[in-house]
Amino acid sequence: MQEKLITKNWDKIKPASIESFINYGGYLQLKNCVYKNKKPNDIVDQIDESGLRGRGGAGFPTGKKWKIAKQNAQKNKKDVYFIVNADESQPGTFKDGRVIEKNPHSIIEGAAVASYALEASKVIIYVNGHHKDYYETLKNCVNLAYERGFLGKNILDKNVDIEMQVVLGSGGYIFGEETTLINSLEGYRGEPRMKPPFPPELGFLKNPTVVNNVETVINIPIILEIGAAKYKKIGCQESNGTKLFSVLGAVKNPGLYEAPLGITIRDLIYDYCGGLEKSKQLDFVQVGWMGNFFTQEKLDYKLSYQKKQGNALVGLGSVLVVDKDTDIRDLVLAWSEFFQRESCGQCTPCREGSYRLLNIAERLKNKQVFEKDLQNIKDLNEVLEKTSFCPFGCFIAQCWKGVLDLKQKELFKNL
Amino acid sequence: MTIQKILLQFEPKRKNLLSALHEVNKQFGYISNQNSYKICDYFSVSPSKLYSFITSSDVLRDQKPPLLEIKVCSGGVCKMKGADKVIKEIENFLKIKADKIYNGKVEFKKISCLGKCLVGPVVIINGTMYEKVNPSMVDDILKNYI
Ligand SMILES: Cc1cc2nc3c(=O)[nH]c(=O)nc-3n(C[C@H](O)[C@H](O)[C@H](O)COP(=O)(O)O)c2cc1C
Ligand code: SF4
Ligand code: FES
Repeated sequence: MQEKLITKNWDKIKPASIESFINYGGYLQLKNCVYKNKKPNDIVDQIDESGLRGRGGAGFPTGKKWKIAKQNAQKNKKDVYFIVNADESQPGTFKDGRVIEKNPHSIIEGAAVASYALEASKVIIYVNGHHKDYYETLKNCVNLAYERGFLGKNILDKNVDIEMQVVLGSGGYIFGEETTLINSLEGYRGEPRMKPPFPPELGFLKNPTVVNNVETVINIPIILEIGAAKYKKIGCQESNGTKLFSVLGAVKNPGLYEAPLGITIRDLIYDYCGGLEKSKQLDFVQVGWMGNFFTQEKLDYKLSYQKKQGNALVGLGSVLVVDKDTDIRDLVLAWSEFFQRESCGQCTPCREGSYRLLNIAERLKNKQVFEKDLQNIKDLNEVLEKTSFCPFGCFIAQCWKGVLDLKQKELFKNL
Repeated sequence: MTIQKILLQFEPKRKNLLSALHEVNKQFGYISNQNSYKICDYFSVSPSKLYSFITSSDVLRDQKPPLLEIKVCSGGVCKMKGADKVIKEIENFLKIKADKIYNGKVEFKKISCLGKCLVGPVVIINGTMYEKVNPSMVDDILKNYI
């Protein structure tokens, strides 16, 4: 089994104690950067070479994102802002929250190193508004780091400044989307902005801004520690390193697991989670987002960021194992309620579409679907896919497409 | 603390609006109409923009908090573990429907997954979280509040 990188010391570290974190090698990479006077751009290159991809869903190469932001800052004489996205609220995902519970100081160190490499003027950690406890935890960690001289002006008595602030977010799924997050930080309504320009071009207060997911951030000191070359060897083509997987549903041991990218769905379920619960029969596995389904014959698909035959795109790393006793109608209804509740309402296809699709999901649940419903789902999907303003609308379409591909006959058999 | 004192903790820049609203929300339980106007003045934001900001948030309130606030996760995993039966039980106990009635005293909402799926179904009452709730526990839990 792959050695653990992210979760290595989680059982030993006392989460609230900065000493405990330091005793297990915490802040070593930040000290290395500062004391050895490392060139910020060399660190950016190293992150680029490691092949690290963003863990916030889309898997955008982190080094590349950093470079775009730095180039823009230089060109336009602007400051870079670094934002840690701790807004996690994808249903069935709890990895970032677990990082905050188990090893919160690692986020601060990762963000500090990122700030050093990006020569950022400020780091903002944006915490999901529903989780005040996480906000307090991170605020304490940041205060401790300031007291110890890891943050602030002239950190570690060298000529380096790193400023960091923890902000309690607005609460709501859409705030995890980076431009919505920036809107909320600037005091504007929680709805996505037009892209392009992308945040590394024009972000927080019109400055080039890098938004990275919590898990991306904690990988940064690890890459500096073991070296980009070694990191790149872990995982598979185009998807390097280990990944946190939130596994739920009909497995013996649901929970959070760290496994190398490129692992098959089967190995994750059987080697890590003890296989299916007794007397349960597998129906399908959902990976990453609603509608991304894999049946028994596809269990050997690899969990990866690369879109290709035989791969299962990981997204945020949520894995839901659904057994034959589960009524797909219940799940479809839960997902439809989620979409309707969390749509920001900015654009008509998603605001109206999510509502109409919820109506259909309710009829499906009551086994009272109309002849028209099937065609309506397909029409709405097409409109959502082609015209919605942000990816959220496409998520709705993907969900329903996945459901129809797998279960259309079962759901509409009464017609 | 008065609203003025709270606001004076923040520089009157729009980027501080979110943090200031959280503070007002914490102190008063909600952002009243009267306070809204003071906030608008202080940050030079129009009332409609402020309202649109507050209503896009799940946690900032523009209405007085109810005496009893019940939230039940209706995410897929909690549903697989029987959240619907818990919701039914609460509906029967309180004789109101989830997401339908709001009379100023009781608020009963279905909410999205909070990442506590491992210990679901989860119910949050006046800020206290109850884990692994099944229908038979509902009476006992609610009796603490009524
Ligand atoms: C609807 C929507 C919701 C999102 N939610 C989150 C989230 O909760 N957490 C997160 O890190 N990224 C989320 N993202 C992705 C962010 O927009 C952004 O791409 C990400 O934070 C970049 O970090 P990374 O490069 O480290 O992956 C979401 C995107 C969309 C379209
Ligand atoms: S697709 Fe949905 S979430 Fe995205 S902008 Fe439109 S209404 Fe908002
Ligand atoms: S589905 Fe209820 S907490 Fe995740």
